Amino acid sequence: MLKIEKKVLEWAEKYMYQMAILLVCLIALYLRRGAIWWSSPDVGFYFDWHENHTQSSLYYVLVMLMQHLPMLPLHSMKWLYSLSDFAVIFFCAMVMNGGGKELSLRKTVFLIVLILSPVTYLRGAVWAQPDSVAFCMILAGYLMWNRGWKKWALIPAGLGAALYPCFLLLVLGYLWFHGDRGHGKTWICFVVLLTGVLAVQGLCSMVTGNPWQEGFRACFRWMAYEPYKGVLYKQDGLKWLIQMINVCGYGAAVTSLLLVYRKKISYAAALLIHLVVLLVYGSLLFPPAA
Amino acid sequence: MKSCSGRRMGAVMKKTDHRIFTGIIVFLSIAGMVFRWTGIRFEGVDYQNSLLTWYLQLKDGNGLTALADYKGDYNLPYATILYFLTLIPIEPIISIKMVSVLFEYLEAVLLMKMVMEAAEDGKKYLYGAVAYGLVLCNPLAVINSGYLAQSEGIWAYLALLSFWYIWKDKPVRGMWMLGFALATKLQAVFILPLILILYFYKKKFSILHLLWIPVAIQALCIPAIIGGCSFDIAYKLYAHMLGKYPFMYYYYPNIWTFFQEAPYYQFGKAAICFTFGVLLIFAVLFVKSGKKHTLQDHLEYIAWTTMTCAMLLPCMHERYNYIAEMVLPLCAIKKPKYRLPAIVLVLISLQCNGQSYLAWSRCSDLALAAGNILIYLLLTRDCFQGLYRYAEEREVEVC
Repeated sequence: MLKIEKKVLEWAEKYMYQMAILLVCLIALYLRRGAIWWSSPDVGFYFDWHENHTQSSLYYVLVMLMQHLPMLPLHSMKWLYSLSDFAVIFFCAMVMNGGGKELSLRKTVFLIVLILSPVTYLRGAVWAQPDSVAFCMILAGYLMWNRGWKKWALIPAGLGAALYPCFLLLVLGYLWFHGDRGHGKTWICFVVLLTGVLAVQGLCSMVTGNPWQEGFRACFRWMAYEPYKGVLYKQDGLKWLIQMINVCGYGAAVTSLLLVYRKKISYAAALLIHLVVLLVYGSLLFPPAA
Repeated sequence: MKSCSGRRMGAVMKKTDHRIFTGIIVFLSIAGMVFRWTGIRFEGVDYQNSLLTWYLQLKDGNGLTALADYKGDYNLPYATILYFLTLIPIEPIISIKMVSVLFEYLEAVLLMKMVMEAAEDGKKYLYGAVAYGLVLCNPLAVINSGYLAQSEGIWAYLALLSFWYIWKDKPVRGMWMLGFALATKLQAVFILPLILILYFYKKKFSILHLLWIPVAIQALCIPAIIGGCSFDIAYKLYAHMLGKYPFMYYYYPNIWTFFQEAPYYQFGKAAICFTFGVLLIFAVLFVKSGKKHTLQDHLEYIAWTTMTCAMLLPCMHERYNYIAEMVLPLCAIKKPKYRLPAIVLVLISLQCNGQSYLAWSRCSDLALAAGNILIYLLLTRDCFQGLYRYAEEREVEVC
């Protein structure tokens, strides 16, 4: 082995964590660049508005705003979600920094898994769903909350929950399982957040030319309506379950990784969540040929 | 006096052990040949449509120039072997199968050697004999060469030999063997991640040694080039093969069985990138663990890396996990927890081969894929957990 080669290898070993993360970031970006141009022929309801649509009103405002960019609307949305994936990674790294600023093996492995997670890739760049934007706002709120800026934390968390209302469950879950649940102030904050979310929804609904009540209803429709045609799930429990996994899958997958990092749940549980979510995404994006 | 007689006793025991061992090896060798011979007249689809057609075309051609007209999709070095077989006055069905059988014997000997080196002194012969039997009488190997006339034994042997030489710090030989393996079939590339990790970890050979690989590939193409093929014929065929089957799922029940309809042109690259990511995590753990990896560990790593490629890469044929299917049963000799996974892995692949080539009744592909994924996850957990623990302990020590 050449001397210079040995030195290069030693240098690479020293900065192995940083280089590995940089490399997978580039790969993730490359993958997303390709996926921007692909749409599943069986999933064509990105911006569809119908009587019982399940997306929030803030989402439609976002779509309206993005249409002013000099790009195809779907592409601009996909780029937004892809960049938000990286924002989520950045915030997750900040959450992990609670265990020390240095890049440890544990942190590196988790970041690589997160960056190359097929769940985030499929949901944002491939499927053009806004989970990553909402999730990075929720994470920003979480970070602010933990630093003691509780009132300010409500703004990003509220916007995240308004954009993707099922993340309200995530906020509620955090407050419930976190040590602060005995404090009355915590619950007052939640009520304020909920009110803020509803207010934003009502306002956005009016901006899009609809009555303000429509915004309120859109906040909760995801729980019971099918997204393509807006049909109520009545007796088909399996379809409803699949849709719930679909809607909550991204949040569950990323949260499970953070929980494993914090040693709150096992690796097997996180892996199982990932596999289930992936199977659901796969069955919806690439349904078997008839 | 006592120690002298003890030493003599030990020598006698060793001699007796060696005799018994030789006897078992001879018996297993005969049994392996008998198993294969039962299917020697069987003509599989691939044999009829490909191997025999190429053989006849090469036979009808004008000497080595027939290689220039070769239209098959196996690499030229394999076509060269076929060409030389046409010169031997033996029926093609026997001569073609016997080449693969020969390499399977070599593979069994090599793996036996590895297991014996990995074993403690007392059980060396026992483990060696078991390993030899497990490889040679593995039903997948028997079907692959004896029934289907496939060439998995050839590239797997050469790839494993390449690893063996690199493990023994003989990188030039290792690279030549890897070149030969790649020249025979591109699937031999599944061993490359481990070799690159060893390069990074051991720091005993230069990256420049990798240049021997194209030299070896080119050396095996010399007869074809003399026959009139272009100088870059080997690489042209690789490029041709890479885009030939644009499917995520291609008969091997892996993770893509669940996403069969995903378009290859888009998600093929994604699959390769995810595989790279998983191998990268393994490489980081391997290097940072600072562990003194034993040969037994390496056997597990070989099974894991080759299985990672077969499970996560797109367009995998049912035969491509061949190395893992041969090596995992060997890992189970010392680690009983691998026994059931090894048996299930072999049975699943047997079913795949059976339903594709031997007209067995079909099983659900999804069920087979789920079984394979479970085994893969188990193997991943074992490989990663050990390394991860070592690496974390090392990090704490450094801190």
